[in-house]
Amino acid sequence: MSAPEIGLAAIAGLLLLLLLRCPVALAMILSGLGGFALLASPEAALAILANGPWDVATNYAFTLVPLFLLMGNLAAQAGLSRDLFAAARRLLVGWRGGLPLAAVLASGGFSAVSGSSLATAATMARVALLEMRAQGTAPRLAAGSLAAGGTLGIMIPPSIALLLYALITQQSVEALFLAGVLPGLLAILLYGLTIAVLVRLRPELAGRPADPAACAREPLGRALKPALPVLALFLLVMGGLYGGLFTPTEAAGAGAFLTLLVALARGVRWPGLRQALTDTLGTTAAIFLIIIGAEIFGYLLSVSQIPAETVTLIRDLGLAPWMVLVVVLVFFILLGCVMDSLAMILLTVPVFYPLIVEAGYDPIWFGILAVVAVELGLITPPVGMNLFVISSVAPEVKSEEVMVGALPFVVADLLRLAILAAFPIIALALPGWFGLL
Amino acid sequence: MSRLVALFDALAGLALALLLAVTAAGILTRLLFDLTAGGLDLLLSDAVEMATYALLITVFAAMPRALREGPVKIEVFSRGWPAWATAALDRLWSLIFGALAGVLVWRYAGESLALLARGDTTQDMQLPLWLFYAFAVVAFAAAALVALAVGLGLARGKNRRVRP
Repeated sequence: MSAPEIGLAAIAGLLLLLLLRCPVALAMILSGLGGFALLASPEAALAILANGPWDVATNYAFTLVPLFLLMGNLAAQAGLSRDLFAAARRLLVGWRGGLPLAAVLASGGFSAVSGSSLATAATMARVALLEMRAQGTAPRLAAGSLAAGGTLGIMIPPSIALLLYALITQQSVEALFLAGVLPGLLAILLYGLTIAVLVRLRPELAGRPADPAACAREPLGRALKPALPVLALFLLVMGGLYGGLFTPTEAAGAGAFLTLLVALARGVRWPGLRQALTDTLGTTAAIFLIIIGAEIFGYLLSVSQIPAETVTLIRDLGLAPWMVLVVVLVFFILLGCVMDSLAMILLTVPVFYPLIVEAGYDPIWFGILAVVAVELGLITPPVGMNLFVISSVAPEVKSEEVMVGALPFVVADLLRLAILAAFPIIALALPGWFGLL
Repeated sequence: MSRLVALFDALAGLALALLLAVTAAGILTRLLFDLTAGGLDLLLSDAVEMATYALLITVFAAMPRALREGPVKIEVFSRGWPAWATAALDRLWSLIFGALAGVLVWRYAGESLALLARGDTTQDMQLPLWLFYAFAVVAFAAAALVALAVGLGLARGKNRRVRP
């Protein structure tokens, strides 16, 4: 067998293992090792089994991952999500569908201190669902808006998904984080419009309007004040990063440290801190296990020359660049329906990235498109992780209702993907303005 | 097994706290240096290496937890399968994870002994490099024990879904 044939056989083996409930990391390790043993030798395969975890765990660039995760978990313990929701609710008082809109807006705010969409969805759901239920918001609209709002965590910086994309493709973390800002804001706008259209078509979905008189008693300035720490944290971390004060790792460290100070100032004590640490460790362990699997599988991909062969194949087929992009994005969307988002990025980007570069597209822009496509998977049945999160936080809401509730937001995300694909300037304007392209 | 995982959680938590402290201290000392025009030089020259090895300890010490809580898997295709079949597959994958962790123990133990014999040190802090490999041996031995216990049904694993 030739090297590319062995590579293809290993990919087939990987898919078979995934079908058989094999953990994603283990499937990548086993297929990577098997292919490498055939291509090189069993001894060489054992060597990469040992080198893979070591190389990943001693890669300084990866220190950002646990630090940004810790920042988000500390922010949750500090109650920043609750304050954000209260501020957003006050801001939108009197609007039809104000509560779901506030949930989306607050999710966007929380995403600015949390790089995880699952953490954003879970945290905001715990805060907002109870109130939406009390106001009679239709469960499907409440669940859908929270599931969709949660996806903002994967796009608005600091985003773990964009971070991993940057590390895999050796692109600038700063450029990718900046590139995610406008698409993130566009998502908030489109989700807001989706809610507005839904409650206009079916006013009963919005539930009872909040009592404007009761809410208006509290001055707007005072109501928005508790949300200021989030804004301050975001501006300090991102300002320091783009002002040249911090490296990306230092920005993560500064963010986590400042959030720790906010948490302590708000009375979070050892049990809360321990919970934040435990949550961070659980997610860190799961993410690094997949990164280790991707590292070992990546060795096989390089040696079997699969990415290079794929580029040659596409070139020989004479596909126009836009057709390559459409095929890749459709593949992402379909795969997102059945596969975990980060695993998908780690597994597929090394294969598709050379294709996109060969097609002449900007890698930063493609990173944003890829993450939007992955985001779709978070709210698309049957493996929409955010749907599971909402179902677990609100077991009384039928899972079918959660799925149906998310569908309008899937349409909004598809529209956003099309807009971003048609107008790359939306993603590239800010990095270009900062001279990062 | 819970105590073993808790012990390694504590180590991972300490290493994560160290990572945070080193990063924050690195920024503060540089700020002081800049503000005093170099008059107050408390710069941490080894900060990058300290952070790197703190990450290594965090990640490896978190492995027992990762293998107990059940790594991310795709369940959509097996939803209609009999419970005994999915349970048997889950146990099989745990056993294989345990075996791989065992192989890592063997490889890292060999590397640790070789480094001890050569007296290799880390680049900046000049710490004995074998110590970190020895830690990897201990962490993956614990991870192997946990995975084998879950695979043999001696400890309860959890299906866990994670992240962004």
